Amino acid sequence: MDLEKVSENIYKIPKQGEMKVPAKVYASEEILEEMKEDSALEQVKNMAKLPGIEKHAIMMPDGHQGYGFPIGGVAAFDNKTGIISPGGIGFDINCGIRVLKTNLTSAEIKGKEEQLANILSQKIPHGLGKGGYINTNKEDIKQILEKGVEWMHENNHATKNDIECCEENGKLPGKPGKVPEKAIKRGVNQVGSLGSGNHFLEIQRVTDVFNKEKAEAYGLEEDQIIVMIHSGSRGLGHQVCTHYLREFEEEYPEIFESLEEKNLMYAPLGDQLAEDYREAMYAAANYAWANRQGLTEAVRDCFHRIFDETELELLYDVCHNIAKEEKHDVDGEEKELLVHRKGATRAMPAGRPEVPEVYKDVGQPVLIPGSMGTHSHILSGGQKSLDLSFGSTAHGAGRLKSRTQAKQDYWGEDVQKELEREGIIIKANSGSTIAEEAPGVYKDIDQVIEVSDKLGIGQKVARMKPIINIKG
Amino acid sequence: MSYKILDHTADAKFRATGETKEEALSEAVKAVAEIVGSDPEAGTVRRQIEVESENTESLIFDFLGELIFLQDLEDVAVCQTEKLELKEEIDGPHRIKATVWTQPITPGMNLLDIKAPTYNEMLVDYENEWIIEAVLDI
Repeated sequence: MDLEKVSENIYKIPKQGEMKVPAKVYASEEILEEMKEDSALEQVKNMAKLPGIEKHAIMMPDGHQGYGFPIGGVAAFDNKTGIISPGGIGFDINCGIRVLKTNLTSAEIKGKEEQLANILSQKIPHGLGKGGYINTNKEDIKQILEKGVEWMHENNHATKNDIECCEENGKLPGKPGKVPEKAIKRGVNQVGSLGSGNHFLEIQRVTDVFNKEKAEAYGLEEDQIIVMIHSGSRGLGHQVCTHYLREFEEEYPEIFESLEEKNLMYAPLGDQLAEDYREAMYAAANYAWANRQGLTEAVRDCFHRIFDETELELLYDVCHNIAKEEKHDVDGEEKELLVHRKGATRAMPAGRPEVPEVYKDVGQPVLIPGSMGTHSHILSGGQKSLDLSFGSTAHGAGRLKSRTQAKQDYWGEDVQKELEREGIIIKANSGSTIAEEAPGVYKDIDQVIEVSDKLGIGQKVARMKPIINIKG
Repeated sequence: MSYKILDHTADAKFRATGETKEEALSEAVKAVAEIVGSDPEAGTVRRQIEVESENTESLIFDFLGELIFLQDLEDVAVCQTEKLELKEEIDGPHRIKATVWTQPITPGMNLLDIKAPTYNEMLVDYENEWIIEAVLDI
């Protein structure tokens, strides 16, 4: 494959064959070698072939093989003449991260970790078929699909700050009527549930502050206890994606047949079906924000059982599987684009309208989880992100090994004991779940963050280490 | 006829085989059960599933989607099929009608919630026996 080094951490696959734009890969030399081991680089080239793609197809430093788009893929399409692709967003619409700040230090929770872990593990629904923390009926779900966190606030499940510090204030222009009935049925019982796979809830300690001024603006300091939540739109979002993938396939058989990678299926923007999917996808995104808000209520209730006066304030909530309408500069001209981020986090710098008022001078908080037992990071959107990545950066460590390989290489109980020695309590459904998510099966998160920081797309603010991990 | 869980970086891939497509599809259900963490040889609650699609690949996609939907909707875990009928018409609809054994999910059970079926690396082939491969997004 033609891969040119442009500068440190920037590689380019020049426009060739059916590619409409070049592809850019943001990686260190070591990360790039890892990327060559699966088909992620081939997938970023496929993205560059899609109609209406603008400027460049991008892969983030945590990029790896996905379906259609690679995980860590960013592509922006002209909002009128481009396309929308469910595979460019992911099955888990608005899978994302939220961080809650506490006013506790590690000394204040010392000795109570096991108790807290047990309460959280018991109260927070995780895995298949455990229901949701918030009781909802079908009518509630329709309201959630339209209003997102606003509905949670109206029903006393959210504070005003929870709305203000959520990306898009927890609400995109979704239309419940465009969400298939089956998806709504799946959504009824899952508001406030973690799910499975790599989803988790972690109690973390801030170990390093890299930028004091920004950390202060985000309300972070060393040794502070914070809570990180990773979940998405659950069965409802998956059903929306599956439903529209099949609808697209039936409506556009000629496009489907022409695609080597069927998961790259798309619809031309402006077509009714594309608009239907966009509105259903936004509605599912609203559901995901309500879900993470439901989990927030569960966390607050659990903490208050042990720590009466503790405040758990939302720092920020940001999604990493989404397509959104944004204005960006393309060749000196401001254009309205539909930016697809699949396993990539929005990282808007100070001055952009998307940054919440409270953070407008320092830039948007970017929340990036590490693998189980390793560091997670909080960055701030960097000025270079607009030019290099349509205001985006990485979303995590990125998997290196398959789950089957992980289970051959690690024994869940051993991993659990090793982490316990480091002071990390893991609560998981089974030993194999722990083995599948062992720190060694992921890329080095610190290296991924270094690339983001050096490129200036998302800049280091603080780093955390887990104390308790509740695995989905 | 048998099934096997295959290697896949981020998700779960399986291979199901059988002398007939019906047998391979029944093995696919057991593979799903193993991925979920339920018992592919058990089941206490019977459920009927019917899907209709335009070709074999989309039929497998829809069938897997229906199993996942059933789990979410009824709080059960899929185990195995009791009976599976397949009708495929040339240039016509392709149908599966199956009776699936499931087990109710109780608080102590620790099961994996599969997100969705995918077309990724999907394979339907005949080589001495029918082979079905598919990846589930987990």
